[in-house]
Amino acid sequence: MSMPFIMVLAMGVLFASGIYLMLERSLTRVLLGFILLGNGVNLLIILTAGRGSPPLTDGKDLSTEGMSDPLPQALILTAIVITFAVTAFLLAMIYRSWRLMRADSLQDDDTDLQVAITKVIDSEAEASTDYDDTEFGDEAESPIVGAVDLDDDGTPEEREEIAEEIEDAETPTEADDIAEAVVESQTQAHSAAEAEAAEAAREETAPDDESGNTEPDDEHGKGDRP
Amino acid sequence: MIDLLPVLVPLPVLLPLLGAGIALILSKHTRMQNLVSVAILVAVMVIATIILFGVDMHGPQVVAIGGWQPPAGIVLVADRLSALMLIVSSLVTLCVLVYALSQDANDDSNETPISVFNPSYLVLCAGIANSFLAGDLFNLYVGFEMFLVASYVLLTLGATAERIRAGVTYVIISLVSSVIFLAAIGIIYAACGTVNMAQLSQRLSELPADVQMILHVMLLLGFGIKAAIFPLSFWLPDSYPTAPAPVTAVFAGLLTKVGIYAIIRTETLLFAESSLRVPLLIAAGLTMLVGILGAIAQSEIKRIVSFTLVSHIGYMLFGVALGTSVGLSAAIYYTVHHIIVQTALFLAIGLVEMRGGSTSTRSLGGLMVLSPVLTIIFFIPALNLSGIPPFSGFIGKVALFLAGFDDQAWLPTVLIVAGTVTSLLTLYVIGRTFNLAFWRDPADVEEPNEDLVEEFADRKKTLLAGKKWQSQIGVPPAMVVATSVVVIASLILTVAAEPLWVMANRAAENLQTPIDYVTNVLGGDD
Repeated sequence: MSMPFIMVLAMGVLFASGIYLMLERSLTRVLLGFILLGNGVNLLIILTAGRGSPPLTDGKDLSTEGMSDPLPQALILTAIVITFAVTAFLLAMIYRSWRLMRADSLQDDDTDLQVAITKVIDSEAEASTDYDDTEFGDEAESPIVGAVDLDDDGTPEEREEIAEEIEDAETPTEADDIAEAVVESQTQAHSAAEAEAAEAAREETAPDDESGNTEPDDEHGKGDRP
Repeated sequence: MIDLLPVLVPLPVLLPLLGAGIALILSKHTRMQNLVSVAILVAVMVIATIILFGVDMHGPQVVAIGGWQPPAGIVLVADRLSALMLIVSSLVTLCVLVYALSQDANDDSNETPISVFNPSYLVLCAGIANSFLAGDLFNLYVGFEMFLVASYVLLTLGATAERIRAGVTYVIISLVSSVIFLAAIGIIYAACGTVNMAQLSQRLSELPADVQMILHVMLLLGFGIKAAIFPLSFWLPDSYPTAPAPVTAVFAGLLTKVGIYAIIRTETLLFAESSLRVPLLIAAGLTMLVGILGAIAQSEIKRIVSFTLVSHIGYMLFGVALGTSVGLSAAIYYTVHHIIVQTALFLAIGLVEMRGGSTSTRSLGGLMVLSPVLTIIFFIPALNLSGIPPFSGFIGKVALFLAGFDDQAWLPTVLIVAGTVTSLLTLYVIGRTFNLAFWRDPADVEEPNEDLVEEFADRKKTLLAGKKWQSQIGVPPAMVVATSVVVIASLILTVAAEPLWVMANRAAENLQTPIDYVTNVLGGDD
């Protein structure tokens, strides 16, 4: 194997592992990923120079025969310095994040979550429960562990139980009552922060609440029936 | 006069850097530091004006840094497009600096430590100027890094939990874009043996089509992240709103436009022959629509305007993607308009935050009665953004749509429809924001702010009694003046639309004939 080929291989490994690490939620891993990626690019630039003798002359013979190209080496120096500075900054920021939030992972944007929750509550009237969930919920085929569950309808087991209960009910009104009770208890079971956010969102749609209150629950009951 | 021009060209980069150094030394003397920073930016604005007129009369100016002649040395090139962008950016940065300094003088909190703010801000200005003037790709990269690193500092100023959270996303996304850009430079150097843009303009077209395509896409990806083009735009509405108001204003106004500038440059100079027209047009249309639909869902004014910012990047990309002379002129005009309007809007939102204690439409109300001046300052750029005649937003959109119709193809026509829909939805979003934050009684809102409610009731009483009334919450006059200057500048874009349009046209003509650029940089013998 020739030298450039090994270098290219190394570059590929650096890129691949760098990108893999950057996809993590942990900030330290992202930082390591960035360092690998940066070095991969530096290797790419130095490879463009080609192999050869140092670009120096003895002052008499000015031929450039056999020299490696000096320009990429100048470029790479600049790139290394920039990467170094940014790495230092990122490290300081990760440390600050650790000091403030005791977390070495990317935090969710609260405002974003609030908008998402508002939309879920707004559209509950139309939503049927047997929709395909995203990876951020708990109904998907491969949900992301630890992600915030945007719809708050309990764990899959709980839902199954409720569905069975509703199925066993004698009359449609009784089924509706069960569904309504479940929705009520779920809302109460919310963690304090989520309940607050949901409450804020509910207030926004307050005028429709009186008239449309039974409708979503009805829909919920029907949807849960297998 | 003409001998002086080459001396002036590097100054918009050098002066702010020098100023940043001086500001750091003077970090204990706030007043001196402020004086130096403002003086430097005033000087840059004067120089940018001279450069624009000089370049318009005598053609592009090429300066070989350090005396190394191109293509070996680094060159700065000032043509009409860069000079135009320079002058607009210097106006905006100056106004924002005045706004920031007077905000800081009236602000006792430690959220914006001024000793760090001034030097980083000046480095940001230098980086932006360097990107506009860069004559080779690597220098463009260095310019990008300069303003990016400064922007990391500015975005996380004070290092509160929220800013660190947003900053982490912003920094990592920017790093990815820089790495892609740098890798593209490496591959371009391997393929062409140069990073000088004039030389690349000749050599890139000799490469095989597929290699050209890869390089083209890589550069567009790098710039597209910076310019917040869909689907590379999701970082923007997440990170901009948490920064201090003046910082958000200058980021929203300028940083995305530097990305657009870089796209215009590479599309016209480097890849004039290999066209990615169709994908770019589709991306432009999606940027418009997805951006504005995002804005509809929000209730924070800063977030709403950040989403409209993403959405309106689509218009500029539309003009660039058309690739015709009219399309490019329209894109240039629209870029100038958008820099000024977006900055004005964010500055006005900063004032709203000061006056009303929040930027959420869920707790604001009654500002129309409480602060009519602020209402006007917000309303004019807001209408301008949504493209109501006779403001410059309307002129820019008409120009873009005419350029699209000129093309007589179905895709540009679809984009014109998307553009119209986006414009109407912008009007809807702006109208709703205005109704909620300025028009209604603050007692009716979802999360009433007691101070506002009390003040509103008080104000109503004095109005009915016909008495004089003085608000308890004052907004520093210098901030209002700085914002007003930007708003007036946006109005001047309407009044002086003709000269600006003619200038944009000539800049576009320059761009359409890259061979002129090449002979200017490399000399006639090449």
